[in-house]
Amino acid sequence: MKAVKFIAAAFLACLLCSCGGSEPNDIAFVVALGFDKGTQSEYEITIQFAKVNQISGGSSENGGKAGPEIIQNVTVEAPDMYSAINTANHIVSKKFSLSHAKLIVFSRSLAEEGIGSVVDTIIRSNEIKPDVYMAVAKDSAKEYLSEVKPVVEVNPAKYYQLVYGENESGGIPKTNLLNFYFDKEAEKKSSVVPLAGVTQAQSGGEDGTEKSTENNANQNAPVNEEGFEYKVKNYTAGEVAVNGENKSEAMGMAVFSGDKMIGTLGSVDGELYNLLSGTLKRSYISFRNRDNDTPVIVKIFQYKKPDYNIDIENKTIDIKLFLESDLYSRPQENYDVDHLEEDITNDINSSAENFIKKVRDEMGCDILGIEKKLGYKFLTNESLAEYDFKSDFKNYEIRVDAKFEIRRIGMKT
Amino acid sequence: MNLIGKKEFSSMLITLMSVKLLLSYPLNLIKNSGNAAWIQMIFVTLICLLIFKVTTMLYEKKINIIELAGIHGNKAVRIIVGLLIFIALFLNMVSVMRIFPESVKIVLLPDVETDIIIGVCTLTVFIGAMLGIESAVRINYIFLPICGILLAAFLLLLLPYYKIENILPLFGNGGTNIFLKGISGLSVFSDIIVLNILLAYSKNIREARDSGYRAIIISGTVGVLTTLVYGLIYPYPVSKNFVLPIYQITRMINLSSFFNRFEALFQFIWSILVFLYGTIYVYMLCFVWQTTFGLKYIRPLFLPVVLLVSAVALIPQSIMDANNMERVFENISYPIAFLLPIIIGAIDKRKGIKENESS
Repeated sequence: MKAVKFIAAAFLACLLCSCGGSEPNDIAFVVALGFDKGTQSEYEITIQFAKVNQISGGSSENGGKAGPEIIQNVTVEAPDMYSAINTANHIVSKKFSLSHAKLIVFSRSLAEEGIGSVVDTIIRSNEIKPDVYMAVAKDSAKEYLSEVKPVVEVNPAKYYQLVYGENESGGIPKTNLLNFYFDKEAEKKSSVVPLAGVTQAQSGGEDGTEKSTENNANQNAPVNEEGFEYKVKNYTAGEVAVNGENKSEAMGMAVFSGDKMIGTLGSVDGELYNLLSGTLKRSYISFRNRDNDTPVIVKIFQYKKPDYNIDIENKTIDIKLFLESDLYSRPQENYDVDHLEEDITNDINSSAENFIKKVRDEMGCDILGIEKKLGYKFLTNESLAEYDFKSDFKNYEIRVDAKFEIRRIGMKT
Repeated sequence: MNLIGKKEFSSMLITLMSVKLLLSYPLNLIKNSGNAAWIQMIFVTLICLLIFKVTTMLYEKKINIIELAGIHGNKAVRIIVGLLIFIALFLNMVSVMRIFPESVKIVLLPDVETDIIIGVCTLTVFIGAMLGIESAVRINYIFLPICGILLAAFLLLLLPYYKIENILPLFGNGGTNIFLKGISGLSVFSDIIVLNILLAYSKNIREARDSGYRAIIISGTVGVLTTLVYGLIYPYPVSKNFVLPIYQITRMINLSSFFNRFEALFQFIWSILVFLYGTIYVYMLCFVWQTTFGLKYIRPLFLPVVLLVSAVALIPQSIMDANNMERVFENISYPIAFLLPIIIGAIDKRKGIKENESS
């Protein structure tokens, strides 16, 4: 019996000898994947991987590097993601690992044709986490990834996490792969995905003239004339000039019907979307000033998720928003807080209503997932499926009622 | 024979029942009831409590059903009952021992052959069984609270992902599916038969009864919580697309930037629980065989039983076949597990009444 115990213990000890597999030094950690339409094959896939020896010190004693030195791109044509990785492994000596991938970018042309099969393949992967961020590049995914040069970040994965996951400006939706997959499969919500782009070269500046704040191609980005984000341009990615090394931008959103992209919306629309879906926690918003042309700046906090009340019989959708704010600029010397609150509330309500109607009537989409919220009106899935909300949606009256209060006035009286 | 305490008995039963909840059992509930899988789980827990109540009312002796069948019938009856129980337990174990290595291959060891993983599992449960039921049950008693704490941590960390709209409409695929077809969900509690087989290890019938109630309520609660949480996060019908529901939700947990792979903890818990499950089951199968045929020694049975389980577990070619096999096996095993104690208990009670009347 002692011999048996000894053999058993020796066997177990063998299992503890190492973790097996590859050493970290032998692995190339993929941080982003870009999908474009291929010419020879189905896709042109850009694999962006971290140069681990350059990050956070690495082999240097002077700390980690930043910018283009911490990442590298390899682009190959392949029928799917895994074939692309196999091919790329013939170019890059290290074995690719997808476990730290943070972003998947699709080109606009590919998104318009449908990205369902790619998403299905990725969602099956045990290596890629389901909360990997998604974006649609306005032009080419390869171009966008080539222009990503995270100047202030030493970790490229962190860069994508901050841009796509923890961005509080509200100009882009926070959509990850799993959310997109849910919307695509359940067919009760149109998905929205952040728009990514590359800014064009700036005009002026080099010869002493005043630098442009916008790139040449998109100086005519529409100025928002509604009360919410008054006079703020409704930018999409690539329209704001970048005065620096990193020319990549994420702004606005791509709207999907099923797995096909059908249109784009700007950054102001993105803020309204986040406000209505309850994901805008805090943001600085400018509102129309009734007394003069200078906008009023307010820091808005959404302290509770919006409340949706859908009345099928009377065809009404009542949305309640719960907001409080800090006033950061005074509309005039002697202003009435109640009057200002009422003006801002009206601006929020009308802008939000117009936004929902615009998306519904122009794109035929339900990006807020109102159909999903109908579930409480029915007892079974069968009875819910019998009601054709998609056809009936256009007949609904939409009413937004913001509960808005000014609570603080910043650090100055 | 060392007696097993009430709490240790309960924790053993909880482990046996809960292991299936970590594998593909919730998926079967979702396929049947849609987003109302958690209601089906409540329903089957209540039905199981009712069946257990009936069983305990009829079953009053501290003798397991194989021996009781032998007392009231002849040797053939004893062998038939023993073999039926052996088959029920065997089918239960084979399902888990097949699905678990496939799941390990998917999530932990993608480069290792399934045969090797099954081999390692087999060896582990063999060694565990050789050490005896008492040691397995005591280790399980220490380990189970750790699992409970981790489960609570998982449920709390997943709070930001809960969406109440995902479990609406409330009755999912309808009352017929939940309350009629849903009865097959009882299979998760079929391990309750172990309580009857190991009656000799309990102090008295009352303690065994209390352990049974406690195990059903705790396992049922775990089942309701896990299916509810999965339903709150994954909308139907997307929720039926994933092979391992509970593993799938653990993948969503991020603790800041530091713990991005929280599922590793789940995999650790999961593996230990399955090994404990296997150990207890191998011992149970051998114990049933020993009792059925009145054998003197149990230890020589461990190796052939373990090899037999592994051999049958290797039959399905793929995880899809394994899932289909599991569904078939469950539908065979749970009626045996629930009905046999009631039938034998009823016969015993009736004969007891007749004997009292005649005396």
